[in-house]
Amino acid sequence: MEKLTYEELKNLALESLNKEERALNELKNIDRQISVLKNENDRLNRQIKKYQSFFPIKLGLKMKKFVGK
Amino acid sequence: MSMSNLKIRERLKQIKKIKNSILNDQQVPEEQSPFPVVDLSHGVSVIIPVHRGEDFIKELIESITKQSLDSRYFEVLFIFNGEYEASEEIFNSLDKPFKHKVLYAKQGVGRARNLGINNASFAYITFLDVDDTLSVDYLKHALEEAEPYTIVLNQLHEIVDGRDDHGNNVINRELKNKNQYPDQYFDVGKNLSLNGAKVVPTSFLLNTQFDEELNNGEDVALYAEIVTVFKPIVKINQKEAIYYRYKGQGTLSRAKVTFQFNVLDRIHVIDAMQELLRYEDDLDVRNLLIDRMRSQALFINKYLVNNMDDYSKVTDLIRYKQDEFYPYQQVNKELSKTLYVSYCFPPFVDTSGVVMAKRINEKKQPVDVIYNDMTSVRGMDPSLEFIANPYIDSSHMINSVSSFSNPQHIKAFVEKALNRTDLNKYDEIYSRALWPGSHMAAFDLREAGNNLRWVAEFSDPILQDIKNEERKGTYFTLKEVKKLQAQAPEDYGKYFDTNLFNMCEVLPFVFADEIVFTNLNQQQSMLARFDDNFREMVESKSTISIHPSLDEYYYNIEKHYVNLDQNEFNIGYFGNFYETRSANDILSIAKQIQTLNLKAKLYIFTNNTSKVRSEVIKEGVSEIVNVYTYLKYFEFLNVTKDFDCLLLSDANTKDYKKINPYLPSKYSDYVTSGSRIWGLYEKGSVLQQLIEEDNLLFGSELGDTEKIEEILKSFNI
Repeated sequence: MEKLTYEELKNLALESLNKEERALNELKNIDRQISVLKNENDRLNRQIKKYQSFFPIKLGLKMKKFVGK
Repeated sequence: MSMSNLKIRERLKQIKKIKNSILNDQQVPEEQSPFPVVDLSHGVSVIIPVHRGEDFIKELIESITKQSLDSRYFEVLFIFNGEYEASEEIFNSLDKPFKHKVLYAKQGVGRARNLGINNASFAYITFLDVDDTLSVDYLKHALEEAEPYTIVLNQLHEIVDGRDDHGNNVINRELKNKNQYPDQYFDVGKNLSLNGAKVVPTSFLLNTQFDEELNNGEDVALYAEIVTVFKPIVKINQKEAIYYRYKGQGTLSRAKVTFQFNVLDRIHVIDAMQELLRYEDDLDVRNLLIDRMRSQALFINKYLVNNMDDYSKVTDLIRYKQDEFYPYQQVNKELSKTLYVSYCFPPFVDTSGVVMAKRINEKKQPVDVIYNDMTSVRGMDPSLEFIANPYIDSSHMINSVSSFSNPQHIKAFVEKALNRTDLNKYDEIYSRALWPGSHMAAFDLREAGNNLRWVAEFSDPILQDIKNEERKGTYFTLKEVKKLQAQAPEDYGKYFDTNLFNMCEVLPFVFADEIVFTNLNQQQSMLARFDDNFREMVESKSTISIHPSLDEYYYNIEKHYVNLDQNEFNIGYFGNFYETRSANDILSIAKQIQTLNLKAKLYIFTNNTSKVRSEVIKEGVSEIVNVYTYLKYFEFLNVTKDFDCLLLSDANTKDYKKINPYLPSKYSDYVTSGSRIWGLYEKGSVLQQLIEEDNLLFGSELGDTEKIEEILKSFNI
């Protein structure tokens, strides 16, 4: 194996660190997007729960069914 | 396995550092992989600490001998520790047709297991207690399922007094009807906090070991840490691999409730998990940690149920462990005998609510609390919960429209409060009012609870406002008033009417078992409108109790960021200005400082900054006076320590009232600060009495500019 000079080794190390940095930054963004989506999902779930327990709507749906018959 | 955002940021910082070192031709520190690479052969090491256990060792060896796994793939490590002589003798006499090592350690189950881990020669580890056994295929089926970065959960059967429960126990039930790979750690939380019945990669355990200081609960702390650090895959073994845990008479499983086990050891385990929680931002892992902390707290609760005399001893150990997630509620579960009714209560920012929290803090007894959702009229400061939380069992927030005087809204609060509480568990109700809702609810609760003992505290006169005008608002119907009159002794009925603010005083006066006033003037002023007979009746059951102060710890919870020049003499004033509490005297002080050319500054913290600022400019003292907005409560406590002098001002009531019934509650906050207090008092007020009694306090009557000059000179600035 040919011997690498100090400068070449340095460049190699920097290059690999740059790659890792880029990958991690991407990961960071994805992580952020995931948490945004998670929050949104939680919010929607809360919304659903709220409406499910909202009596007039339940009653309204029942009435609709009844009238349909 | 997702790396959390925090760790990514940490690594990015690290990369930047390394890159800088390389570019500057400096040496780069050697890196450590977060995942230890261990070159161990495929197989499972069984780790068995032996302390006592002479009655079980024979059965244990038999159970291992019967294992169906090829003996090339497993080894057994016996770690003798503590008292083991008797079991060692039996052990030596037995035939052991399997690979095994014998090690010795000082007493301690964590220490013994760590020794075993460090001497294991296989890539997976399973733990076994000396008084437990394994099913025939346990090791075989466990090893078949074992994978790197994976914790395998096997089945657990409890044998209580010789009867096998066939897996019908809380731990094993977690595994039933679940996917092979559970969605969340939380779903198998109980399994992830005990040692038995699982296979763990040796690499995890070499990295994260048992806490040798913990007498027990070391497994809870260890698995919490493994899950936090490695975020391992968890897999439920679908094949039969049963760990038999023996319980009941004659076994080593403990059952006795002791202070050491139930309190001290549990506090250590909770501490360890609190530390993990601090740096963890994965929701799934956080849920697991919080859940485990809560179940640890239930052990403390179990101790308290039988040893209520030790309640303050126990809470003193944990009341300063302030954290949003500290499981105080579980510690206090079902312990409270008093129900506190405070219409406004932390986290809502309101002086009367904070005083109620301080009362709870002062009494050091477990309590339940009812309060109203004040979102629409008050800000929120979750840190205020630090004051009372260590003592709260359950707190009920009622969702009703907040109002000081609207009868419909207050009635809604009262009704919801009645529905939310189970009054059978209480001996006493304690209500405190500035907000009339508190006493109105307490009155109904007391009645519904078969005349529970009722203590009612007044923060201020309720019927008469600061200008001595009567507040008005119809609450009761005439019919209701008649009914109430019938319940009261005949002489008192004449004071009953439909007015909310009148009844908010009269009902507690007549029906409460104890009345608490915050000062003597308040008592006299509030009782002045009644006849002698009534007044004597109330006086005989009333107590005078000044606002409680918090201890010094709370003055250091939060750091303040007020820019104080330490070379100057700094004077602080906290409060708002109204018609009855003018800024005149404060501004006189500023003007005196200017005329005397003193090295002093005045800091005013108030809600209405722009108005006060313009006043300051108009008076030409803007060089001396700094105006800031209100601080958060704990920031305020912290800054009081740094002022050279704190100003306290009476309300100006002499134009309206015979005696001044108010004592600024800030006095109680100032007292612990250790700074000088300067009271601007009204003649005959409680503040004046306090100043006369205490030489450390300075005082000048409102409007007395000569005295202001004298005091400023006495400071020798």
